[in-house]
Amino acid sequence: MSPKYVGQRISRTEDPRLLTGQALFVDDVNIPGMLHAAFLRSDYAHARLNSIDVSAARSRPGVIAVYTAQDMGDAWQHGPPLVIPPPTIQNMVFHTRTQVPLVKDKVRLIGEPLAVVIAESRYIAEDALEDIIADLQPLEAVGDLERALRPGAPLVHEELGSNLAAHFFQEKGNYKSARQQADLVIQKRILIDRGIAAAMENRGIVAHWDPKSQRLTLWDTTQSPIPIRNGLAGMFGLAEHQVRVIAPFVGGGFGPKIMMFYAEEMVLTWATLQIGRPIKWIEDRRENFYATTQERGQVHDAEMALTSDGRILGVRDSFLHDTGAYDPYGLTIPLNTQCHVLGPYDVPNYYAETTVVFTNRMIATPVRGAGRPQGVFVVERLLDLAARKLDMDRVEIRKRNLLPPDVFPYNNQIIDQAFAPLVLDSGNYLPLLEQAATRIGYQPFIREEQPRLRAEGKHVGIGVVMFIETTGVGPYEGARVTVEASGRISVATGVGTQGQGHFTSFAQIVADQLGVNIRDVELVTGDTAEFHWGTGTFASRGAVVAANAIHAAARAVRGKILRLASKVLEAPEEELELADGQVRVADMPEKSISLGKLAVLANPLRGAVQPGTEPGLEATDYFGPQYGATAAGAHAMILEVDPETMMVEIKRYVAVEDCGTVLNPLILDGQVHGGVALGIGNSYYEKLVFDDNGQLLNASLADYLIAAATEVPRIEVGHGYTLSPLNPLGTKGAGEAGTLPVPALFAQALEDALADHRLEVVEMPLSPNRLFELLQAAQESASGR
Amino acid sequence: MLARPGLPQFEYVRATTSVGVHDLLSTANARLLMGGTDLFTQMRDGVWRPRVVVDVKHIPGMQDITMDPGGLTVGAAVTMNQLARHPAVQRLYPALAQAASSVGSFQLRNRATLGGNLCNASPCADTAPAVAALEAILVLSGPAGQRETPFYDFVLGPGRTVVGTDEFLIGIRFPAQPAGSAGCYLKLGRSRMGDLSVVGVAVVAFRDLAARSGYRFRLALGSVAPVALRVPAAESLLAAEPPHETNLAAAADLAMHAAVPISDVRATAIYQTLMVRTLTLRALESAWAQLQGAGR
Ligand SMILES: Cc1cc2nc3c(=O)[nH]c(=O)nc-3n(C[C@H](O)[C@H](O)[C@H](O)COP(=O)(O)OP(=O)(O)OC[C@H]3O[C@@H](n4cnc5c(N)ncnc54)[C@H](O)[C@@H]3O)c2cc1C
Repeated sequence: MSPKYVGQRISRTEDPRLLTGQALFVDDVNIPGMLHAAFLRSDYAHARLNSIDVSAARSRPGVIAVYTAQDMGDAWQHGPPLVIPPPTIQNMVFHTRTQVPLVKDKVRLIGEPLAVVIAESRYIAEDALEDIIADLQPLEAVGDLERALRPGAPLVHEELGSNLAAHFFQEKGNYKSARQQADLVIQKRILIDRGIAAAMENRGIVAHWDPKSQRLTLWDTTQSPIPIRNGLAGMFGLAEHQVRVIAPFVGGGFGPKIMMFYAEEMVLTWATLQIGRPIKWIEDRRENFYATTQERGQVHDAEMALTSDGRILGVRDSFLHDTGAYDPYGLTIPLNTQCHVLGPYDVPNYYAETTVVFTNRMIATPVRGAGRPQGVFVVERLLDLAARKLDMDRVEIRKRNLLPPDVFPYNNQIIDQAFAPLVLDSGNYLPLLEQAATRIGYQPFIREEQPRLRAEGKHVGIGVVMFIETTGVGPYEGARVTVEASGRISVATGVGTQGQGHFTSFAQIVADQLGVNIRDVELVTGDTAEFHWGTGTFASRGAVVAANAIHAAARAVRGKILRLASKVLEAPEEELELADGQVRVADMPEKSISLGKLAVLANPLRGAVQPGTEPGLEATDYFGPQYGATAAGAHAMILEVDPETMMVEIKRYVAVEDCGTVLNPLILDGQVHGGVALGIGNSYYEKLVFDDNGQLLNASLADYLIAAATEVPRIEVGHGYTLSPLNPLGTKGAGEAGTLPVPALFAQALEDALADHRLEVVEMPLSPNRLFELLQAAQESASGR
Repeated sequence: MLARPGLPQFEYVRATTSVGVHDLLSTANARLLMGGTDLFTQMRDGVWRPRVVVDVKHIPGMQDITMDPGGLTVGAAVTMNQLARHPAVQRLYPALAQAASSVGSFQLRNRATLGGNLCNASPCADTAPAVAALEAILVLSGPAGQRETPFYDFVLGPGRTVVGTDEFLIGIRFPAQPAGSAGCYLKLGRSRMGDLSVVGVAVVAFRDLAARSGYRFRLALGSVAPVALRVPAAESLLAAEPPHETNLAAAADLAMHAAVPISDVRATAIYQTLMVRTLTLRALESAWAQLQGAGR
């Protein structure tokens, strides 16, 4: 039977609920007797906590409890390390320092919680925060990555004797000798700064310990409910089955909502265990700037060695990575950066060296892209600057270096975030580049349009860049598919949903396997009571790992249906077909039985279940990929710069991407659009600004700009389809793809638009003001000042 | 500490007549409310902690736009969207209409009022330059009746106005504009819409036979000084010599020299200073083109 739903552009079945306010979000959870929490946060980035007096807060009417680190006693413990460094990398230095629930003696990041107030209302809780007297003695703050490593720098973790969190290097081939043969070496210092994820819904938790049933229920805006359940159970001495974590609808994840074991998750769980009443905490927008993880801060010293005809001989990249005050997420981000510097290119020699630095800033964990945009930026910038030096076309230099389609699977040798060698499973890169260039009209633009526009005094530039995206990492996900007596199909999987359209795309897979209408497939995601094996939604893995697990479970159920129907209808399995919620004999449609009736027969009230069989039409199955699938793409854009104000307008944007099998093109387009929007923010609007004391100067959406409808153009999406050989559906992830190449693309298009200034863009994010400064500096150096 | 309380507790009073409002203002710890888009953000941030919030936008006349031979009167509580889409305002006071439509987003403009924007007295208030260039008169209601004050006396500094504790603004009067007058407001933010202005420039221009050049230009800058800044030197220059390319550029230079911005997280002073020149020149050119178009 040919697929009916997979591959179709069908609208998302969850949207009516979301659009009419019927979907459950954490803040919609209201339980009789529920209390509210508010956190007192440090307004210093680095300080010694001499004492804290909460007595006045405790006596405020309506306050139920006020807790500090001292009050937690033995329950006060550091959060678990989430990702260990890869054991496969030699000569690794890694110092694990994980976050604390409440500050005990020293504040290490601005906004770190000092105390929590639990009260009858959020109003009372917040008012009571003002009653707390915390004696904080400010210390010099660590912010700048290079200064942080100098002798005598203030220390985030004194016992380490330095702010070095990790150091490691990886090598492919021999860069040194490659460099000796080079005709051209491009050497650049490249800066990428921090931003936030700015999900529409901030974080939120409702923690409820019911003393009578001895059950803990946690509604949490997490991307990974299962690890949170297992971790909290372990931390607080509960059996895993006593803990249920529900990630209901979540208004955007973007990475910071992965299994963090945030202070608030630990504290609310502990507090409800003390009080025995449900407690809610909803992060407000300002807290989000201080309490939710961030990313991107890196300083690269990168170089590329090339031949005179533009072939890459090797790349060397040594960079500092800002992990913030703690490093629970291990080396995922810098490993991604190292891997993505290699891009879709044939880089025979590569030396990557990473130094991870502790700073008095919010913990860095993956934000959509997770180190990849930095890597893409480095390699694409080096290529552009090399092309300029060689007087070579930007598309041409890329063509000369792309890996050809016959090399896959291609082993890049260095270790990736999944601890395995970076093997590119499949790909066909040249057509992606050509498609992007053709769609944007690269040649006609360069040859005719741009000269004409320039003659009119317009500053219009074009850019074309490429990228790969490692996606769909293991270990595994699972799913359970059940045919109910009503004939409806219920599906449960462990991953959480934050807007990806899982309810539709996952249902499409099941509907095709079982021959039912997609409306009859009911999906539950992110509820550990429904399914408790798996990790979560991150690393662009839902459509790879979870979708294939669902596919496997649905196939298993299909097998059960056919076996039973074959008996009931007295026809061989090969002659049966599943369609319209029925099983029927292919050429005798009158000989049929509905799935619902079959489900009842499979779960009889009398008689015995045969040994070796199971009741019902239900199956649970798992999928774990051998290694991650690698998606790829090419983006192109035309932008106009106002040469006086430096305001930009993106005239056209083309995104061509290859994520293998497309489950639902509509949803995929949406993912790409959203990804590009964040990338545009990362390029020209979204930058956190800290002062020397580590104070965040733009902690509001009035000062921290997010790319809005006026900044995000219509995005044309094109596709390539090289199916991943690593999973039955042939899917690769696409969740982060849109974001990855945008800063690199922006930089190239800006340079092209301002070609008369010979500008070099080696930092991101920019802003009109920052670009203006760069141009002034370029002019000054050109005029020899 | 960073966890700041949300809105403090307060009593809400909705006034439907000005009777009693002055007393309430002078006796209670009160703040006036119209759209609330500044007031509530500031109360949330702990800037204001009033016990009573007095909503004056429902007092008759507060939301009216009226035209008479003397000019235009805008009730203090007229919203930005009402102002921006009013045909007579668009035609006769384009700088004001453009300034109003440059504020925030469409949703915000449904609440934000002209009076609130002026009384809040932020250096980056978008309507302030237009109101300054149009030489508006502000009408205040006090216990002893109404008094009028020109806008150039109204704002004392960031967040400070001449409104007495027992007074409130009821309207803004714009003198009648000479036939064929031109105007525009140009705003530069960091994004194309929704950001607060980094620089705002309002220009109003009309034929004036009393001026040696035959034209009168009024120019005001926003966001680059504690208050909206008129630039008399530039205005005199263009009154003295007929506008042409170099004159307009010279006037823009004078505007640039008048600006005294400070660097902050949103923009550096150097950028703002140079953008004053750029935007002023563009605004002057636009007004000049309008005048020439109208003259034909
Ligand atoms: C998201 C957002 C975006 C914004 N963008 C812009 C922008 O682009 N440009 C811009 O200029 N502003 C912007 N603002 C600021 C604000 O919206 C404007 O200043 C608005 O015009 C204020 O009007 P309001 O009616 O809401 O004033 P309110 O908040 O009701 O009042 C403002 C102040 O005036 C006082 N007041 C109110 N009524 C009177 C009265 N009758 N007499 C005397 N004092 C009175 C209040 O006590 C308060 O101090 C923005 C605000 C927000 C929240």
